[in-house]
Amino acid sequence: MLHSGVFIGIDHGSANVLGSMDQCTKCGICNAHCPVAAVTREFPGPKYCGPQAQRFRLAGSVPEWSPMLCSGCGVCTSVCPNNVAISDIITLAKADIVGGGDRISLGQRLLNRPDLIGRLGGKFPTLTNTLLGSSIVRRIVESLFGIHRSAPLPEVHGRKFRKWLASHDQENGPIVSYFSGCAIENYDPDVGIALVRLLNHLGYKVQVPTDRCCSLPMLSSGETGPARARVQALVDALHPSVLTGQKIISTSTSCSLTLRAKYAAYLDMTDDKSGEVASAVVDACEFLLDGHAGRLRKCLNAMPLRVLYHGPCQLRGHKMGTPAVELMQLIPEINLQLSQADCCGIGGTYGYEKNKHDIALAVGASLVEQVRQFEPDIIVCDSETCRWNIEARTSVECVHPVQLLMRAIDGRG
Amino acid sequence: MKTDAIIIGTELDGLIAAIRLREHGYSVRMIGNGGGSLHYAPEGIHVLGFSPRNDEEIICEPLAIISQLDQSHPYRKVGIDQIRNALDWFVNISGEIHQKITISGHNELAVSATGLSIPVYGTSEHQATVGKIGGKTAALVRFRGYRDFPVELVAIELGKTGTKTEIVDVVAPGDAVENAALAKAFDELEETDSYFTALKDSIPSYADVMLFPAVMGLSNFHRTLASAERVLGMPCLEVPTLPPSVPGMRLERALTNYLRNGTASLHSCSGISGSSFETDRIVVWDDMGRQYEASLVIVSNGGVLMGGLDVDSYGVVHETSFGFKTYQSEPLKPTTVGRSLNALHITGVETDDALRPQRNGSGFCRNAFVTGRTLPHWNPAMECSTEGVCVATGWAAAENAHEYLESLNVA
Ligand code: SF4
Ligand code: SF4
Repeated sequence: MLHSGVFIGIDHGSANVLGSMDQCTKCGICNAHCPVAAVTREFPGPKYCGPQAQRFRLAGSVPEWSPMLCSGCGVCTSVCPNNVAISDIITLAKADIVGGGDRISLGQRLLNRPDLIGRLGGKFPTLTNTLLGSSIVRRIVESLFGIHRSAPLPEVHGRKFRKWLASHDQENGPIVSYFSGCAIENYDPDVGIALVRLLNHLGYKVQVPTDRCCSLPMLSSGETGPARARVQALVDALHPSVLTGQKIISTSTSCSLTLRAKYAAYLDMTDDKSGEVASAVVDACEFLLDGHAGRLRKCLNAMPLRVLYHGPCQLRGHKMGTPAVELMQLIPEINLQLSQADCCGIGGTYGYEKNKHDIALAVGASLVEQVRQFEPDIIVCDSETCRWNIEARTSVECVHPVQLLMRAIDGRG
Repeated sequence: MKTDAIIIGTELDGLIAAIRLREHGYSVRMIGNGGGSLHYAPEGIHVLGFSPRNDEEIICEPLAIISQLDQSHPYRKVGIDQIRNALDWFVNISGEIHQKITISGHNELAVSATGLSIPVYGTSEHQATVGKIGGKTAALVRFRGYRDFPVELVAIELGKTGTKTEIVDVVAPGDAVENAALAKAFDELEETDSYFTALKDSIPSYADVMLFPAVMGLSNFHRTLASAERVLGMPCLEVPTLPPSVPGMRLERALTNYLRNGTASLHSCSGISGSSFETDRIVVWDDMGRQYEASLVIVSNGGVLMGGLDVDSYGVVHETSFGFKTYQSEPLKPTTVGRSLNALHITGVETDDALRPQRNGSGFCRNAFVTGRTLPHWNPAMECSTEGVCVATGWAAAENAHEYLESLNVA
């Protein structure tokens, strides 16, 4: 017997987000968990910056800058006992501060278009990587665009994933869609290759309907104006696959969270089409764990390695627990340790900006310390900017969970 | 996705039930919304501090008077043997997760955030108790700019127990001023010895014990306090602060880690938005639309106070996730609740002695259990019994669930 019916729905529009401020009881739990407030007194913390300041924002625009220091990690929202959508309130305040994008810095504008940079750089990958590897160029980039000279910029790979996919033979099987996103398309092709191979191994045929970017960097820094058209085009591109009943699998926890919940919260896209796309999106590890664990267990070879897993902040927003951990625990002989840090500090494009780089370093300090003590052979993390950051700061190889699983299947422990 | 059990809520009782069920070899999924009430818990395990009938009467030996409690009290349902087992087991776990709790068989008086002495059954190593500081001269640390610790009040109240105090003004590492920021600053302090050496001059020579606010680290506090004791040459103890409680966060974090690390179970973080309840199968939907299935459910979502139970505009309490029958002594209207907080505390989901709830009109469920603050007929604030009831009912629910799951296997 059905008691209270089907679920109510994914995050609602911005009015609900802002309205949730009234549920705040000022308990301070969010402040106690905010990784940014813990390292800088410049940031007054989620309780103030979210529900409390929102009251003043209602009365008219407030001269404020502190929301810009929030990294958008979402830790605060996940610990609030009263369901205040704290980090979403702060993100909407950012959009007000930058006037929906009109008053945004050139550097942030660039960072907000990882697909564009990747595509331009991808035409001349070697040249781009050499240039960005040069400290002189990075200094110039810093002073022109405010992108910190030692922020972990990824290497540009050209269209490696597309090329690989085009020449990759897949046997027939149930079809699933893969949302690769700009990171796989331009910077991190190996993750996409590993996922497609893994899904093939389980009998699926993978199609990649689009190479568009989810536009999260724009949304989280408040550039909502230009984001709207880009997002609509993406929803249109994904919808046909959804209509045929396919799941849309993502290897990026930040892209998938954006697709699932943030278009409604930040752009008020609560129409049916957007909703259908949102409900079809599933994280790769979540997909693999649900119904495939038995099959996987049989084909995973022993991997006697010290593995440190750092769950990215967005996992909290996904509210799905840590499926990657459960998957990796299927690998025989693995020595798995879990990161005790709430956040690696990078916060998407947050730590790239010159004025926030030091905060990002301080936030990530405890993770770096844990790596020093545990001395892992390899670090695993679901989110690309976190991986680049962790790798840059620890010099330990950092891969996506599906890469580790694929290595275990290949017997490359 | 299917597991043996789903636990709703991330309260202490839910964590206890989850760990115990994992020990029995079952798969468990926790679905909780937000930080649990351990964020409000001072240090130590409070089993029964005051008589539920007369809150002036301090209890010395809580376990000796369980049988005198009302039949409906959660402790009576669990029974004295189970309570003992649960507490012994918890003491063991607390050692394994480096949050060692010691029980001596009777209550001690511990210093609270306002300096008042509160009866506590299990204490941790660095917890300030009257036994450890009574009659001594304490240097009481006040961090610059830090407001969640009413130092003067604590000093006055300690005076009443015969402890002399001298307030010492100190700058915290990084000049941090909030509970968690202070804890993190101490965790990351590299040269603890030199930090405490620098303090040495400001501490009066006649002091024989140091009292710090309980913010001396989340993960590294053992190291930090050991360094303080070594350098300052006297016991260094912690006094609870106003919430959010750092010792409570330590315990929550350690239990959560223990659950994640040692076992393959998942700790999800979400509210639930719908359910279907059958005699042998329970399905719940989380608020992202995911569907989870289990053989049984344990509800430990913190009752009215932690938002686990809803109150409608008539003041009537509802358990909305599954439609379990609730108990309340009077309507919970804003106007009356102010006068009688007791009515709010003693509200909850009615159960039988096996902690099993009832669904609209039907008999007691075989595959559902209720724990902790979601249970009625006890008043944690007045009795000072929060952690004791949570540990006892969390454990008992897991044992009863184990019995039920075994009966399924046999059948
Ligand atoms: S955790 Fe939630 S209720 Fe508590 S202060 Fe923060 S926003 Fe308010
Ligand atoms: S989103 Fe993260 S950085 Fe921003 S206020 Fe919340 S916890 Fe702090």
